[in-house]
Amino acid sequence: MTINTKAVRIILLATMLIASFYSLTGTSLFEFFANLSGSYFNAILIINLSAIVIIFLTVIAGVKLEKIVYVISLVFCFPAVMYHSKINWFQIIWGLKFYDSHPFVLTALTVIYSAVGAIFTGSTLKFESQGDDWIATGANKTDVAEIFKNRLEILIFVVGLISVPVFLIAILSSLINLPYNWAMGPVIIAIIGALLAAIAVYYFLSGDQKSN
Amino acid sequence: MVLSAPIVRMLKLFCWILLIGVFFANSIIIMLAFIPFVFALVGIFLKPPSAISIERSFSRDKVFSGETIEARLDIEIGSGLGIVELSEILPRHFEVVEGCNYKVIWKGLGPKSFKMTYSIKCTTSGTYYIGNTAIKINQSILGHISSGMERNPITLEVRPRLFDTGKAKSSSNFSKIPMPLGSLANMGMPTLEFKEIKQYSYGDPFRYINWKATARNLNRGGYWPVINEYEKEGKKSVWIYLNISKSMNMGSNIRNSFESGLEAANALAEFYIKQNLFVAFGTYNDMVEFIYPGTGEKHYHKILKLILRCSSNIAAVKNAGVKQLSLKESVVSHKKYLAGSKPLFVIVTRYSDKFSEQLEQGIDEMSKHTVNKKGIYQIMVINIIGYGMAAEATTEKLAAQLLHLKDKNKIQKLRKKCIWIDWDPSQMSFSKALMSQVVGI
Repeated sequence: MTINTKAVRIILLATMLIASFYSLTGTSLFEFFANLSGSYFNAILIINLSAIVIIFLTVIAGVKLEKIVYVISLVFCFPAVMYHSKINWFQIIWGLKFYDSHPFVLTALTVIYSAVGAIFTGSTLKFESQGDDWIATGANKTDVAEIFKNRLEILIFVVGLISVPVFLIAILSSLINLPYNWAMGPVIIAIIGALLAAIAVYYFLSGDQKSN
Repeated sequence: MVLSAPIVRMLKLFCWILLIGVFFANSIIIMLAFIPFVFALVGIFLKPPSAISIERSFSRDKVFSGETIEARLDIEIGSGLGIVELSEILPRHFEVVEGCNYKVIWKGLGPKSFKMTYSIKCTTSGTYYIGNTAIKINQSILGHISSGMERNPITLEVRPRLFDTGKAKSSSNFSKIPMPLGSLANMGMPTLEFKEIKQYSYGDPFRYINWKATARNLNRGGYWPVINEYEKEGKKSVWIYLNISKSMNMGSNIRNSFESGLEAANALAEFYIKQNLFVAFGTYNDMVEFIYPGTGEKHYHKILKLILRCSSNIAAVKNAGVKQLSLKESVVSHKKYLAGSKPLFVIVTRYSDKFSEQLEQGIDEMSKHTVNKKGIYQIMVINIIGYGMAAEATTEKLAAQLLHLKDKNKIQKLRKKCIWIDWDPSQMSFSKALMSQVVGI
């Protein structure tokens, strides 16, 4: 079975954009735009038109369409993600308070879907351009097609390996409402994070010393 | 354990996102951080291809320029999973005519072995070292991991082409190739080979007096005896001079007038040595070398070795500060080897305005040491017309013809002094050019 990667990419990018815009509509930032423009419809129109103009300009400037679409998707998700922060530095420093009417699971799934989609589209694009380079250098087309097929299979496997547990964690945590209400949750996360950061810093410092 | 660059990049990304997640105490961002972490883990556990062994073989190790050889590589990849890029590094004068010297291959879970074959055309003579393979390893999804080089070069000797022997051996063509007229020695032991009749002079042996001819001479009123003169012991000699300068570099890397010059010099040296003549070989301008007159297979190999050495980069020779000599200076400096002989001089060059005066001076100097027959000295100039080799499009070819016509007018004066042969390697072979243009020698 041959996979039409271009069609998959278009579907992924379109759904990423729609899902992330939907997550934006539940935030206080969207409320702010709606108040500013006079109605919800005007806010939707202005935001989407602005996104289209940005996409158009950046594509003209030479940025790949896929890249700018997933950057805009992540920007749309940003206010909703910030609402779920235990420590909101924007509120502490500038008094900016984020609000999200959507449930945690929906925001988490939208963000994870956008990130995974971005990885998939970016990787397939990279595989294709690498394949074109190989063919231009003189590689056999059947060899390159075989490589693309095998790489795609591994990529789908890895994306699945990432998505399934992360989606499950997001859904389960929303069901038991663990990260939001459990008082020890942030503390455990902070400890794990600090430990991982310390290990990472140690690894990189020791690597630098070895290379010196 | 040393991690490859893409894995380190993924781990760094994981750390950054995790730090941001911890900074904001945001569970969604922390979950996102695990995406690059999983990629890094996949990179660590899916080992890239390794234990690559290459066995290389070539169909021949000695070829003439313009011939093709087949290269065959038996490659085995022992372990790992991913992509392997293999590229055979070839000298710039080699042309791949069949197959490809580059291959990208997917290495699955088991060991993999495959063959890579290609044919190369060796267009420029010289000694080459071929057999270095650049290897690039790519992890299945993270991309480029490492590069390396498998070095197992073999020596390949590419010799300049020789005469089309079939053509040169036919009696009608053979007589067209100029031969030296003067003997090697004016002094020395006479052989039994009759040369001419001449008047007796003091010191000539009496046994050489030709009594019949002397009697006839007396009838005509001459009283002085006439003697037979015999060729002196020794051989006739040919001196070949090759122009080594940037003006010879007309054409591409693969086909140029310098390479054609080497071919002409080699073909002539081999031909004259096979005729049992003494052959001297010299170069002038940017590289000055000289091999004194000699004969035999060993001597030919000496000349061939120098010809192969000449084919190395001319610019490098010039930059190395080697002394430069014009054709005239070169002939003068090797004058001592000319003593008693009247050789046939062969100059292999490409006519250019820059060196026209120098060429004329050289011909004038050579004419002092050779025989003049019917007003033409025994000097043969092989002029390689290189314009055709640099032209590809129709307009370029027309321009090449115009440039040649322009040169033709300028070389009229030189043509009168010597045997002038124009050779356009893009149009015909050297033997054909030689046989179609040598007239009345």
